[in-house]
Amino acid sequence: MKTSRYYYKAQLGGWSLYILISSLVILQSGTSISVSVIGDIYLVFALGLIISHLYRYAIIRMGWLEKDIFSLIPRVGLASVLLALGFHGVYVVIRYLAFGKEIVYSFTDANLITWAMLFFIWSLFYFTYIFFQRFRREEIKNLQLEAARNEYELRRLRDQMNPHFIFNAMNTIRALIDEDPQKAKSTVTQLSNVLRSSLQAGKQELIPLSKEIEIVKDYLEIEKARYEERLTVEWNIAKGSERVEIPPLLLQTIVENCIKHGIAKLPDGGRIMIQSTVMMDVVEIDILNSGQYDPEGESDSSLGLENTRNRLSLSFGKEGWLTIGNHGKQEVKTTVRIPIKSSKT
Amino acid sequence: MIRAMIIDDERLARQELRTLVEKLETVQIVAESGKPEEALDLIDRENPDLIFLDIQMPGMTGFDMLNEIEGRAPEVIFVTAYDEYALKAFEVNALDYLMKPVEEARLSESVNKVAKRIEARQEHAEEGVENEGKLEINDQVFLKDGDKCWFVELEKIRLFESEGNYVRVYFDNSRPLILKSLNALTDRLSEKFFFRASRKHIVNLRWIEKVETWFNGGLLVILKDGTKVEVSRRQSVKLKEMMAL
Repeated sequence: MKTSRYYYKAQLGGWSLYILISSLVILQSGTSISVSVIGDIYLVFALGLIISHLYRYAIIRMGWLEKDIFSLIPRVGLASVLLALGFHGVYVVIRYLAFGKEIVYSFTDANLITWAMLFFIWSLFYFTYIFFQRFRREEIKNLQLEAARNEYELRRLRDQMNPHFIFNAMNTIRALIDEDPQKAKSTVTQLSNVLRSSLQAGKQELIPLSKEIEIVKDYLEIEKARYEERLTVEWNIAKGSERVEIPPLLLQTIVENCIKHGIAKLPDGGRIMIQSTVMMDVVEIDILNSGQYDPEGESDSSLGLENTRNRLSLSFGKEGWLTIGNHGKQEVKTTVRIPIKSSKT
Repeated sequence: MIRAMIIDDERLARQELRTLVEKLETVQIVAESGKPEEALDLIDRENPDLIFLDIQMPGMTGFDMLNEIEGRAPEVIFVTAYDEYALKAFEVNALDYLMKPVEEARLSESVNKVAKRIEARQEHAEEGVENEGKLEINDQVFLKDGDKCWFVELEKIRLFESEGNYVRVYFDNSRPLILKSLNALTDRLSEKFFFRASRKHIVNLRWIEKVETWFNGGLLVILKDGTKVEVSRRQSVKLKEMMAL
């Protein structure tokens, strides 16, 4: 809408300017002002407006707006000549009808060159504006894209830091400083370990399961300090499975969800059990937690799951996967399968 | 002395807050609880002036718990670790919250604010007979409609209107729909201030601007905001008697 307003303004302004200049030229040359001279000026003004407007309509209909500059130059050149021929034809006919001037149509008429030049200049202005606008639109689109990317990255980082957990942990530590200073100290160390690992997570693609287990143990110790008797943890890691390599924070993310959607929602708390089994060439890790899984539940948890699945398939292709579902009436079971030889595709 | 109660599912969080609150000389902790259901009983029994309330608790959020309070709502200071979204749901009137770990200066600031509100309300309170535990005009109630919540003083409520199993509450520019019956409300509201106009309406007597006669010996009540409420024939007799006094 705004574009077409600019167009009409430029159209009127441009042709007025042309008429003004040609009037001045006529005055300078000493030609006496007569009805036919003024009529002539108005005729050119009106014809210029109408024909260039039809020309614009044709440009839009023929899809020239999407064409690049090199295919436009010959087309515009040809169009200018054709328009000049048409313009001159109509001009001569109207002059005959209105002022009784004799019809003379010669291809060598000097006016023809003037008209062709006019239409060429008109096109120059028109396409310059179109290109400029297209460029600006592209630039805005790029900026918007970049802003969206930045926001996503920020959200990802924030989610990874899990602020709810951090501030609750801090609060627990504050209380422990009075009640059990030794425990307060060890909780600070555990929290440091968890924070460090989440800061470093982006640096490595895979880490040994044994290392991930250390972090998850620290994390669960903090949650145990917070939930006290409402959280019990059992580990059952099969020999030989610790060496398998997994994407960092994979187990951590799953266990965090077990707390958030399981334990934290149960007035009497519950249990988290983590066990691993070694099969032929794969390791299966089962994480069981008290609670019930609702596939249509909160969208952030299904997003987290989707993310974990993506990470698995990025690292292991079809051999790495995750399943989640209810295990009996009071437990949720998450199973992750990891190939032992990190057969990266 | 402000009689306060702490509700948080984590023992250490309760203890931490208790330590901080006990340093203030204006507040006395009369009870604490880690379970919303138990807390509701305690609120009923102890009738505290103020509760420190955690938002995220198992089984029931702090908001849901407030919604269950039958009597007058105490003053509430929310204590939360990181729940900006939950707090956004709240209409800002009288909302006070603290972030865990709690800063002593912020705590005493919040408590002072609450103390002033309680004082103002007591000064304002009507002299006279105790209304057998019914809600007085200066009491505040907690209302919840979907994700939105309000604390409202009863004097601001112009009208209760029944809509099926719900009641629409008119105050300021809000008109939330709450899951209550008009009969239950009638039992809880003090008759000195609220009048059951008909099967559909309870009006706040203080908001009545004019009373006009209506057909069949009924009456039409016009409230200060222009709302018109028809009074049933039976209740009209009652209203006339009250007005005659």
